[in-house]
Amino acid sequence: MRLFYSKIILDHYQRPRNFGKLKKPDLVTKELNPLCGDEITIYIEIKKTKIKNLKFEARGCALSLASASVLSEIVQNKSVGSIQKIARSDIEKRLKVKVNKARESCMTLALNAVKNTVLNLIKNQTSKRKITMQKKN
Amino acid sequence: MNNSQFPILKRRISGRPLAYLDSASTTQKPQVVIEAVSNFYRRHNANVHRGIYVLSQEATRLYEEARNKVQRFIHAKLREEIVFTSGATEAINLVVWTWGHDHIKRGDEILLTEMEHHSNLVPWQMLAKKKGARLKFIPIMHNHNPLNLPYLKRERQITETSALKMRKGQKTETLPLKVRKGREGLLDLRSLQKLITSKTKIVALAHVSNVLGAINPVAQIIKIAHRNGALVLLDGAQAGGHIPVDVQKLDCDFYTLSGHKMYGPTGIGVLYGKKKFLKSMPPYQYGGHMIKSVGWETASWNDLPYKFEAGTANIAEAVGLKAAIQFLDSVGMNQILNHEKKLTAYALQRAAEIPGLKVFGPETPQNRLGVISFTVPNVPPHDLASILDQFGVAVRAGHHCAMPLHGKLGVEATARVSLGIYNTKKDIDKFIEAVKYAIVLFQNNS
Repeated sequence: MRLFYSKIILDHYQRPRNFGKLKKPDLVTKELNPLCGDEITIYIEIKKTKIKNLKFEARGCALSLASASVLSEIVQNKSVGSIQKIARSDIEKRLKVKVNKARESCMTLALNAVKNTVLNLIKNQTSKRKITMQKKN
Repeated sequence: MNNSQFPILKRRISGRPLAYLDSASTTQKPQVVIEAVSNFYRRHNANVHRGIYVLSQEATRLYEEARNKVQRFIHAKLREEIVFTSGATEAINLVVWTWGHDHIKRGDEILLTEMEHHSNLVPWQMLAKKKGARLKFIPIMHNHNPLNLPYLKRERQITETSALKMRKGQKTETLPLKVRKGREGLLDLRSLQKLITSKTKIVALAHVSNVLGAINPVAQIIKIAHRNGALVLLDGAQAGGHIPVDVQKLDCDFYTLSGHKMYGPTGIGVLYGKKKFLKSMPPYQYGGHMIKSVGWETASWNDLPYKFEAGTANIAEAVGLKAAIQFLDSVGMNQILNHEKKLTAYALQRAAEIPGLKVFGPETPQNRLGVISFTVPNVPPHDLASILDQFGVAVRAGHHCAMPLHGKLGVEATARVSLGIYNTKKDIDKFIEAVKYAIVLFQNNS
């Protein structure tokens, strides 16, 4: 029997990387998974167009915490534009696990939160730029 | 005791024999039910009540026989007091939006309990909001437990305030309780007298809790409610097929059943209502079958129970439900209850072997059925369920459609074992072994 709970998952669950708060985050986002009671708050610091630092505070199941933990490693120094390309499979690869449909939401809680907040940032900036361009015109 | 009759139990999951411990979600189906449904489609399928031809006559007879079967099963006085619905949820909604819509006025009170399934909570919430009525809740007896799960520890503050908020939003009238052993997870009847007032129009509660397993003292509650002029709806979704039900002896005004939780097909449920109430209630849905005559601008309603069965019914499912009840009768409801009680006692006794395992609900097999929600230290419920799945042990993790109750219990989620007629001590043993494995797995790594 190949066990679903690899040592890597348990390690990231019990010793989550980048766990905590950022003092001066550029972005803060909070995501809930009311079905399981998972909750995560993510703090992101952006320098120029790159994610310089990401920290998170969370409570939830081992899978959601471990997923957030590896995600925090994946995104460091990634450009804001490339965040949308990160997929569930990237987390699965790192955790050496394939989840079934029922547990997908645990694995993607942090990922979706980061994607959404970064996407909002990009949208806001584009609309701001548009407004300033319109004003100039 | 009867697992040879359940073909699905022969399946192997992850290479291991299946230990199905999620019967509170839905029960597995015996061969006779599967046969009845498939035989209906193979031999008798036609629409009911309209056709003159042989097939339609047969289908009508089978459908109405199912109604008679249900009537006898719950000891209703009249067959027209049995309304087929899509499930217990629809049965409750039917009462809420017909009787409730007509009788609940501004300032009225609807009395529920803290252990209700969302299906017996949310419809009443919507009605109360619409009518300006007030929801009240009979509290459960529960000693406050500190949240000592590791995954809750990190933001203990948030968890406790969110639990508190839930309670506030719920307007629960909680009394300071000191719970004696053996009463944990039971309704606090001492507060009932205070909660029921002349404004209370209906008391709606679960016969058996789908989280705590508690068998509620419904006979007593019904007496008190009636003395105060309130009607009583019992949600029997978790009781049907587990304990004998006698609606006349109970003297409840409404009773609901869920077919698929009592070894029958999905998509079929029952609303029992006393004739005097059903008669005075307006239809729930409008369309075919439920009319007597229709003009361009007006229509009149069919007799009971057809007034409440608009559209083509779930005929095959009703036929399947009849087969399920026949199956239950052949085993005997008392024997079924006995089997579940014994197995529940065994499960509780074995669960006590695991240090730190916390059972929510009555700790003793008295006053409870085999629905056992629990947490174990260090292993979050969802992870536990995933690990058990790899052992072929099927349990549920989550809030089991009772979010406010979990807030009250101080946990976001629990894992839940629930027993059926086919479960054996062996299933419990497998479950216990797998839980022990999970605990060691999570321990070794820390």
